[in-house]
Amino acid sequence: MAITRRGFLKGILATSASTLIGPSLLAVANDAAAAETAGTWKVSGSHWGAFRARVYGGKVQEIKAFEADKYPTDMLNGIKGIIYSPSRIRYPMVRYDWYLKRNKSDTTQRGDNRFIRVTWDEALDLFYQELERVQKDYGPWALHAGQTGWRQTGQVHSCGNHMQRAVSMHGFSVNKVGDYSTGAGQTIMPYVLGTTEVYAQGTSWPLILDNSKTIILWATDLVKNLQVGWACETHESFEYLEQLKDKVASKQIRVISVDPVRTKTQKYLDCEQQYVNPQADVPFMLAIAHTLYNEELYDKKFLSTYALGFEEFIPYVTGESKDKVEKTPEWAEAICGVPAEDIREFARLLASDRTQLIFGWCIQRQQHGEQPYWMGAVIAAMLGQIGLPGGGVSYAHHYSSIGVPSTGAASPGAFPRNPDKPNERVHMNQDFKGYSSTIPVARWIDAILEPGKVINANGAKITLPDIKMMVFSGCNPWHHHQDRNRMKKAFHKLETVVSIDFTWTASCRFSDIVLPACTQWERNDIDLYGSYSNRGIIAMHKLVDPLYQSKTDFEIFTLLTQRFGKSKEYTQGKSEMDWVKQLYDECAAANKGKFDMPDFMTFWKEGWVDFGKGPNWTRQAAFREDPEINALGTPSGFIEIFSRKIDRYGYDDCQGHPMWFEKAERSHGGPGSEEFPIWLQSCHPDKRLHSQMCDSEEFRATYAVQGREPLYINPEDAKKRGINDGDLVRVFNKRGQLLAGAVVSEDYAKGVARLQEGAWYGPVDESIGALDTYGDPNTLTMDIGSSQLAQATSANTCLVQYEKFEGKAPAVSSFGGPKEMA
Amino acid sequence: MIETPNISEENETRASIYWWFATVFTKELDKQQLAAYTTGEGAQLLKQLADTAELSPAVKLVNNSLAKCMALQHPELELAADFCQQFLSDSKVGAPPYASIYLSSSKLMYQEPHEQMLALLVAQGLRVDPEFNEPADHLAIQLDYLGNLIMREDDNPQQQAEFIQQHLLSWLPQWLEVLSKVSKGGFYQGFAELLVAYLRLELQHL
Repeated sequence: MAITRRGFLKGILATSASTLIGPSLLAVANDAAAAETAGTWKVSGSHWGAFRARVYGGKVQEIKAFEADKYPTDMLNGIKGIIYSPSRIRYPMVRYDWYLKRNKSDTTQRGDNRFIRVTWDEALDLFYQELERVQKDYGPWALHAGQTGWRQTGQVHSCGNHMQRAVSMHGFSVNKVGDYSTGAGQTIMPYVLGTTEVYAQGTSWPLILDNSKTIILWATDLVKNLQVGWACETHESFEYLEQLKDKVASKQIRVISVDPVRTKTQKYLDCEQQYVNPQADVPFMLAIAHTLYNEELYDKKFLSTYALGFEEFIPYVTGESKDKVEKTPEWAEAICGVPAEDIREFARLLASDRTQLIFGWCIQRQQHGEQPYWMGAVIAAMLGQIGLPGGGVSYAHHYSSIGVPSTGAASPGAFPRNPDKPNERVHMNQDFKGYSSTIPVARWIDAILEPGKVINANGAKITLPDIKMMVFSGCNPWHHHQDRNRMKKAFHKLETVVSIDFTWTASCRFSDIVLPACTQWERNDIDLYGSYSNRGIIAMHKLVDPLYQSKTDFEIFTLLTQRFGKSKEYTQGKSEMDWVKQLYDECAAANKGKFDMPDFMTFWKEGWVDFGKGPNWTRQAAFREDPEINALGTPSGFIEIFSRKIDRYGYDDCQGHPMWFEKAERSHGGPGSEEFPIWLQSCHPDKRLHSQMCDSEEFRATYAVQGREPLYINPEDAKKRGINDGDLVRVFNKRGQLLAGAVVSEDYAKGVARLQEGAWYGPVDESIGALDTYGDPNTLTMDIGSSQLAQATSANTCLVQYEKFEGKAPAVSSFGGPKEMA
Repeated sequence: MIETPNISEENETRASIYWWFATVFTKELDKQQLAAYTTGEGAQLLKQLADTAELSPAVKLVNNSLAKCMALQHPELELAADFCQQFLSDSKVGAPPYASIYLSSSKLMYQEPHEQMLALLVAQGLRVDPEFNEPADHLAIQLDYLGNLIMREDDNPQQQAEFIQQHLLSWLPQWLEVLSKVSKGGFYQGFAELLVAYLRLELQHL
């Protein structure tokens, strides 16, 4: 009931003022609101782990880690800061100039512009009209709705599924292949070991702990990266890391971290480090192969039984191939910085007993990133321990509980990504006008800038499409793509950009239509608990109703599909809770007779189902046991040290066997290092999930330096530049410049600097080359494909210079909504 | 409809003025409302308020910026874009009208001021209209509440004064400072100054 407003300004004005006073903002309360006293505890999950939240007065008051999580991450402290961030998108908004002129708008204003609020109806009408316009005026080649990111967790509301299902019901569009995390790795490894390896379960930790004598952590920081998971994280890996720490202390296992940086894991385990120059791992590895071969430390029998192409590879090592360069430890020393004798010792150590190689993802996020992964498999094959517990090679023990024994239980499905009736879209036009309908994920900026260009990718010819409109949902390319200033130029060419998100990311600020999704804690959902371990299923109780005018992805796209008569097909006539229950019931049916699951209501009340601990498992053991029956997924079924298929592609930057290729930029004496001597590493952050949680202010304050992203630098490098710990520094190269806060630390070798990815972009203005005020490393990184094979991101091929910042520092502009800067 | 037989005409006017302010800070002006401020009852109201010396500079600011705005091609959209940047954006680039941002150490939304306002609303059997769905420390809700307080049967000038001091003037000067940096003498800065001046004037009479 509204409170009546009466007698407007009697005595001051006699006229009616109905136009000046709007309806009351208050209503009579119902009884429910007053009933609560201390609040209720609810269960939910996240990439950071499961938790219980006390909700009182419509507000999340308190969050504590789920009791089954024995190693919770302190990032749980950032969750309230996400929900109640002042940077939340509160209303649907449209860029002002675009609102006036639509696709004829001044796109150079992007990033420096005004927005206006519109109603949901108007916003969705505009969204729909643009989809119509692009399909009618151009065709499916002009729409790219294929980029996706680390959605919020929850299987019903997985935002990429919602967006792509809805857009696909309307018509066809350009899609992508691969991702920014593992582009090179997931492309090369199917040729070598038969699967992506990066997204495959690895040998169980208990077996590694029992059998390995040496563990090589090759550019992997387990303790840092295992804090987050693709689904709700359990952190069970940390129990094993704790045991490993004990075994390191008691000298039962020798662990060596091969890395230019002393990692968090190295410090946690108190293990050894083998320093190697940045991007120079392959020369180091080739020299290891050289030693294994020359000293006959390799397993000939294993190679002849399980691998193909060693004979074609080894002349490259011995200097009998085209380049006539013998890959001796002395040759490698000059590039990788590891003394030749140490390389030999290292190789001997690997061959001396059971050795587990564990790679991280950073070294494949560089130019020629395919090579170190391939070469890692070659070394493992030479050691002959692939398929043995505690031996062989892994590419993902830092990721999503990989290595925690999997229960084998079925996990809940997801809200469908594809239309139920793919042959009944509103627009059935599939004429891509000669453009490719699928592009490598990181090449969309190339497509916008150079439409029609033909590139090689994984054996195919790709004709880059002339993209006019993009739709992003829970996807922040202005964090994960490389070279901001190049992106700015590309965005000038886009006619329409739609972003759906819950917070004002830089991607939203560079968009035309911005729609507020609610956070994952403002909706009911269900999730797998423990990613690759399939530990259980967690309920995600809605903690509070969607704040402001935000809506669930489910509701947003139901309303969009309503506009073209597809909402019934979209929802299948089911509500949010119907979907939650359906996913649970389907999962229970799949697990019937194997894993007991209570009825849905019991589960929902309890908050989770525990599948217990799974049995130990050794990667590639079956293949080792019988390579004929359990052949690998490679073309030959064997480990391919030489790939005929890749060889036939004829690429100069990824040939038939692993090789060393000089980089476009490389520190420590490599190309470009005279002018820009510092290698910039942009690894996954320690206190965020990529860019997620960077906007959580109080939590960010725990690591920021003078309000800026920390730049980790070497003491000698700092001293040479007159920089002290805590100073503001300007980091720059020919591609861009940014401000960051110096953290001077012995952990970083000379010529090495770290700026963690996911730091939010906030340029001082919209101009090309503008100073980034917070410290987004992708202001500086290079936007080139890893090679013609994977065409993956090369973020870690990046040289910079830095200097002490003098003068008045501009305010950080990364964490705000749209702004008129001019 | 709530019967309020004993409310004085003066109090009705005062409440209406707060509701009027609440409306200004709730939503962008449409064409009709904008016209009311240039030639209609809005203009008259502003003129009458300007008769009070303390209020006249703020009214002048409103009128000046309005005149500038009317010369543009889409005045109501220009004002809507101002409204968006100043109130619908966040504290880094705008001056969102929520007490929590200015009063809580965390600078987050839905902090103590929101909870205090909720308690006040609950005590009166009220809540924020679900359609509006804003934290209770949104300026417009606070003003709406104040109007309701004035319209209550019991004569409660002390309560009104306390509310103005503790829940409004506790953060509005800070808000106004931020707003003037963003607004640079614009229409909504004028209104914000008018509100603060009006509240201070009210305190003298309560």
